[in-house]
Amino acid sequence: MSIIKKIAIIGTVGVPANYGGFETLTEHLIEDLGRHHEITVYCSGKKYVNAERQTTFLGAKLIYLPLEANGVQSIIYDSISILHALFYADVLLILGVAGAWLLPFVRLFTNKKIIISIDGIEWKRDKWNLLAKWYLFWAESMAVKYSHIDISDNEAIQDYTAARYGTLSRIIEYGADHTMRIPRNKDAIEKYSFLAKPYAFKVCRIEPENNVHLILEAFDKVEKLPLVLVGNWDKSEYGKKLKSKYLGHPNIEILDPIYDQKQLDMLRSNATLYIHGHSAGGTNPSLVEAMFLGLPILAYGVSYNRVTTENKALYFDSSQELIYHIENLYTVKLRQLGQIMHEIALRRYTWAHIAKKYQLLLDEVNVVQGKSSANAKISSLPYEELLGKGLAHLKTTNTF
Amino acid sequence: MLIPALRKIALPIGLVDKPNHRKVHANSVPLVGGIGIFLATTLTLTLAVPVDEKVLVYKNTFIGVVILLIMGILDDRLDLRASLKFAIQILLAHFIYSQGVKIESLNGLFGIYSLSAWLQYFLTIVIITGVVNAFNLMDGIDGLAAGLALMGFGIFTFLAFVNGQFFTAVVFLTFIGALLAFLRYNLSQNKKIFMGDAGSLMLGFVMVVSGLELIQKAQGTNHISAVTLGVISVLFVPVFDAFRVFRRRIKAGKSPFHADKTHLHHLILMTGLKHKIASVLIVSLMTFISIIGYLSFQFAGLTLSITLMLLVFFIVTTLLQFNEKLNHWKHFIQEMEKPINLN
Repeated sequence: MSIIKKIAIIGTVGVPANYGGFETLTEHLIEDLGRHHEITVYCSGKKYVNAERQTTFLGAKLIYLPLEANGVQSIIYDSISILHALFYADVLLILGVAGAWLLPFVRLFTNKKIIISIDGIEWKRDKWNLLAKWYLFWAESMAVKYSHIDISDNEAIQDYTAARYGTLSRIIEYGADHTMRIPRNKDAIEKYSFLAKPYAFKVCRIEPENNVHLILEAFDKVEKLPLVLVGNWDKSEYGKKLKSKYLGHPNIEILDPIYDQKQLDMLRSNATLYIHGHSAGGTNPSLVEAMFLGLPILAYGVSYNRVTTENKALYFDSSQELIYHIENLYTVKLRQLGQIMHEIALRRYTWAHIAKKYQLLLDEVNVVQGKSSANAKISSLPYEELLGKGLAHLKTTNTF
Repeated sequence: MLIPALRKIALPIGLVDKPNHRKVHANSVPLVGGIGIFLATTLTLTLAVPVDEKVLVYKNTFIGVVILLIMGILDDRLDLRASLKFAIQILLAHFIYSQGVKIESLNGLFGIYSLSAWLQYFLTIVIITGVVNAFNLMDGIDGLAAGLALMGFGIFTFLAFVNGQFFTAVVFLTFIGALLAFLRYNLSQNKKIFMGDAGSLMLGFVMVVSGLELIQKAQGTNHISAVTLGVISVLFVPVFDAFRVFRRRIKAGKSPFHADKTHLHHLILMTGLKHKIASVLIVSLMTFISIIGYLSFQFAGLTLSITLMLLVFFIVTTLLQFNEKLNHWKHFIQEMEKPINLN
């Protein structure tokens, strides 16, 4: 049993979780780690009106700041949270890099321990303007250089931090066991007629990086299986264009966002096949959730998705390949594939497992001295010395 | 009037710029801008002004221009050896020095006034060849070299008036006219031309020699420091960008002349801006740096104003290089995000 620590969780919208992956993670960390530690969570007062606010949640103390947790305000939101936490916390668990500019000072003037999750590669996303990208790119370097431990959510992102910073990031993914298999009933079939027959399913933000156009193009040409696609179609020109092109297509069902988790779980858990087109952003919560529901996965063949599915799903990199896979699907194969995905999820993507990984980091952060290098120890010897011994190639092990 | 005719003969004689991996355009473009600017200014001045002593003062610059233009055309057509081009430039710089155009004093910059004869010679040669090449390196995107020259001749015209050199001001105005005509075609979509090495080398040469002459003419007057600052402002961006690029290449263990995509305009294009906007921004940067220099000069003298100008340039290029680093990692990740086909 580890020593009781005071932990501040910084950078989320808050709990109870109504929003994204970090908030769900926080909720489960409170459930699992809260038994052994005193947890404080910073919440956005903009997202929780006075009536909804609580002083504690499952034993964790909640502190509300009158700021948005996302966008440009997140810099101030995270910074104030970090500064406040310095007064009492032993460990700062920071989710996201917006407040990372403070970390050099925290390291220099305090002995607080910092664990930071760098959350995919935020600075690369098209939704940010140039200045925001510059800040996030720089803030990420501060986060990695001045934290005691940094966390990536995927091996591919670990490769990137190893290449950029020469340090070893820890991988902790997301849990998915908050999703449930919900059987379809008569009412549901009445509302969504496609539920009566087999269908492929996909839920995502309607953005080019999620390859929505490529997937629709494929389902436009196949007749074997219809596609149900849920997303925020009206938020961008890209979405509006696709919606007007494919709305009413006999093989394609276009649905607006569904915020009711049960409803969404019902639609996806009854699907025959889950299509995952994400090409960016590390481990996607929606993918691990689909795996947990035991859905056979047909995913875009980027390294993130291959790593998440342990290279055991089906992959496509073009609409032709997607068509080929759909045309060649048969029930037994699908059932086997779903089973394999479920087994991986049970092993890797349960919140208990994720919380345990965080617990291990909390134990480790007390004794950790500096960042572990991604290179072999021998590469720290001077080049001349290695050259003299005929081992000069070991200086740059990261390049081969 | 000249440019359409020149465009027509450029293609048959192969005086065109063909695209390659470092070039930012996709089709062959006639390299006749330099010849156009030369012919336009020469014809205008010859027709408008009687050939007398006033005009003959410019014969040295004219000889230099003709030699550089011919060298530039041959280079545009045949790709001359770099060492040969460099040797010709040094010979030209020596010729100009021998005709009395030189740097005689630093006019109080860093507290230095008079210079020894060999230092005068050395600095004059280095500055002439340096500026000619720096200006040549700036000619990477539409409208940039011409835009900088346009703004430069604008400032020079003003300085010439201040010096009381009215005829020189008219010569500069002629260049402005020729550059405007060139820009009309250079920025056009379907009638595009480039100035080529012929144009950029020639313009760099005219500007540096004119700048040195302006300073010499102002020697002994009470506005010598202001004129010196004006000339430095005009040449500042190309020269210090070349310094930055060379330093960086040497630091990376490469030759300072190793061609790459690290010039100021490349860095600005990496932010996602279009060519024309990038050119306007660089000319604006030059103007902004000049204004900062002029204002600080009023209060704190030449040395501090140059220091401030350098600081502004340093901040801008540091931010742009930071953005370049971001792009490098973006491409790294994009490679990682390409689908892997293991089938």
